[in-house]
Amino acid sequence: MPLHKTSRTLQPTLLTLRKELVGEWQHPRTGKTAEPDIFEADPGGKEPIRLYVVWSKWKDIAATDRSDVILDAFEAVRGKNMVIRVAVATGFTPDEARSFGLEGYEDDSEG
Amino acid sequence: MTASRLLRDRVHQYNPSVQDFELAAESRLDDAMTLLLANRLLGAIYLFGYVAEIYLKNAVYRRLGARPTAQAQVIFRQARRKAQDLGLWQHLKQWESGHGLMFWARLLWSLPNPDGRELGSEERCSLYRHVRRIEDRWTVNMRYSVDTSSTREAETVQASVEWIKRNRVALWR
Repeated sequence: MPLHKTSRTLQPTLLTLRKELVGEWQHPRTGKTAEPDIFEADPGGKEPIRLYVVWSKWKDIAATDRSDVILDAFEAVRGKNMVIRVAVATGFTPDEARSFGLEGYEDDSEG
Repeated sequence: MTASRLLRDRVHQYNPSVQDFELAAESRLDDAMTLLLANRLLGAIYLFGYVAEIYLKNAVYRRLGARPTAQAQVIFRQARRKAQDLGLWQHLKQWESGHGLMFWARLLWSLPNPDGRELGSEERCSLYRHVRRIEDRWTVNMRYSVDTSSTREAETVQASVEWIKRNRVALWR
């Protein structure tokens, strides 16, 4: 029985986001407010990789589509042998990243 | 449609992806460690067993070619069909209701990865040894038991679950 791979053909909007993300991954901009903000957690060795991308453009994009865009972009930049090690790929808007408490996006309203 | 207020309904309505398994396993492992440190040994072993199950299922799904974003229910059906084709499904003990650790381990080492590579004999032996150690001390029926477990038993299960965790990428790739 074949494996049913869904959403592998990205919609035009998602293709545009993927292209932008690949560009950022290859030539990251500096600056605290630069987006998309990519977190590539690779402990190396046998450990799995986790990817988080904070981006305002995720706002109207479904969580699964965000993850697929991130995985496709990562595969385009790092290759098939690396993407197989990815265990988690998640996209957050900046507000979501603050709610989640992602490193660098902690709520500093009290301090 | 308004979101259900009941936790059980929210859980049933949620359709987890394969990457949710990774996050859930980590969370349940933290829970199990908290119980172990509090000397709640049977509760710790009970959760450690489920952590092993989640990691093994995750590895099977990945070995079947699932991406982290794939819907776990869809891949589960494929895994079940594969197990039936391989003659493994009937070995799943009735009372374990899909939770049989050795079943998932056997399925894992019976599957080539999408590139056709099978698990090496050393990986298979280690996996068998660690799953055996857990299964000798864990069953889903533990929830009905009073705590007669020892610290040594709990630490043995913990060590084997940690081995599966450390080697999960090698098991699925």
